[in-house]
Amino acid sequence: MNARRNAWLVNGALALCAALVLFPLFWGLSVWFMPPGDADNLPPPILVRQYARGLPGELLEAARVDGAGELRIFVQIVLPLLKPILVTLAVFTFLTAWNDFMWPLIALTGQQHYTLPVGLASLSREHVQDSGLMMAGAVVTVIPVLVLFLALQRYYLRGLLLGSVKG
Amino acid sequence: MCLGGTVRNAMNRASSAWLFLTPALLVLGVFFLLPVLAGLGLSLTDYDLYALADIRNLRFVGLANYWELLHRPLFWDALGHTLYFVIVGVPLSMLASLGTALLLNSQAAKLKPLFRTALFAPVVTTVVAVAVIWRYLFNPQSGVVNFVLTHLGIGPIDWLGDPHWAMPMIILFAVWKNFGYNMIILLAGLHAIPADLYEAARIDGASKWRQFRHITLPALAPILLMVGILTVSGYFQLFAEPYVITEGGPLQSTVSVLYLMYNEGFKWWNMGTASAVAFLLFLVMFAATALLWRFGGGRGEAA
Repeated sequence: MNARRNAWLVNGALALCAALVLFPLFWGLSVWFMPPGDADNLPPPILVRQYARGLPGELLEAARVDGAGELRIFVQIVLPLLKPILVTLAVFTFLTAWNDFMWPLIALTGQQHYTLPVGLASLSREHVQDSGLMMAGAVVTVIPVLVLFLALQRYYLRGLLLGSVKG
Repeated sequence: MCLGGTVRNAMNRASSAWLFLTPALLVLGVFFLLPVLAGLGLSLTDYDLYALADIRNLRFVGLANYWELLHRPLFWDALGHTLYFVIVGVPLSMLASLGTALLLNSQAAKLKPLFRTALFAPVVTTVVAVAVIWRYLFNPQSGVVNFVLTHLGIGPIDWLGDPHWAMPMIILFAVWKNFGYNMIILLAGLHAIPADLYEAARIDGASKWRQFRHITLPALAPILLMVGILTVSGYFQLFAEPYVITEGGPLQSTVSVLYLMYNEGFKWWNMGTASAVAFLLFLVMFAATALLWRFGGGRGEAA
């Protein structure tokens, strides 16, 4: 009885939190229903090193005993084993570069070079009233990173934990 | 001869270590150390639009930039706004992270991967894009937030026009955007606590609260400290949120230190002053994290 009430409480609280957190994101999607014209971690080398330290040394020893050179060991044994962490690194780097704001804002001099965040920010300071246009810009900017995260979140979360918890 | 061999061996190891370290050190030197030193040098000059046009206009002014900043009310206002953001925003953010991590770690929780993904999603989104959405949510006339608040009997709040409400709104935004990151790290910390500790406590008749107070919190203390320090140093660098949502207003109530630096350096081209702002912010952040480290470290040893 008590356990059932507890389960309801915990899952209810989780559902409420998730709904509150997701609400602004879904609100952005409401752009599809709007009539037109209506009123940003860990440095990569450390990440890879943390992971590489976990590789079994016996593998390398066995390859050396079999007479493989260092280059061959790296290309044929170490690199394939590092594939998961390299995917993690790629996802991380992509998301960081895509979401970066201050550095492109400072460094890019002309509109023809603007990234999506910089372009969206400059639009939003000029066309505050055009909410349909602004929401469309926001959705176009956010959808690629959200889709990438949903597809590869296993890799992303691992990178986050490798970089932070193990000291 | 044996001794000579050991020395040569050690020298060999040292030189190959340096060989492997050289690329990383070069990159660090060129892209980190050099810009920092250049910035420090720049902050001692009056580098501005005139010096940009003709380098002969550049003058060494010593600490004049710092002196002028410390006598400028807007600098102290910006520092005050930033401290307000850090002092209110960081604890709120940590509480949200810890609360959701505890909920997700509860045995009663179902659909954990789904909830985890949902709660983490804001972290991967683009600040500028979600800030644009946020501005419409909190629009004083047509926003959903005021619509709901009015129906609850709490009068409409002028989130974007009232200097008292603009910063709370930005804090709310930052907490929403960032808490998921720390939640994942704390969740991993919670998983690492051995289950038998809780079982022993249950057998001894300890309540849920006492289990949390005497098992969960001490076990999480080192992670909480690390996460806290990272969050503090991240929150001190408040910039994109006021830049997009409030443009520093109303009445400059959301001008942060970094916003001031951006305006000085890249709107008015007073690079000397902007560099001085950056170094003052660095000093404040250094002091804050050092304090947190001492305070947290001392407590960690006592626990």
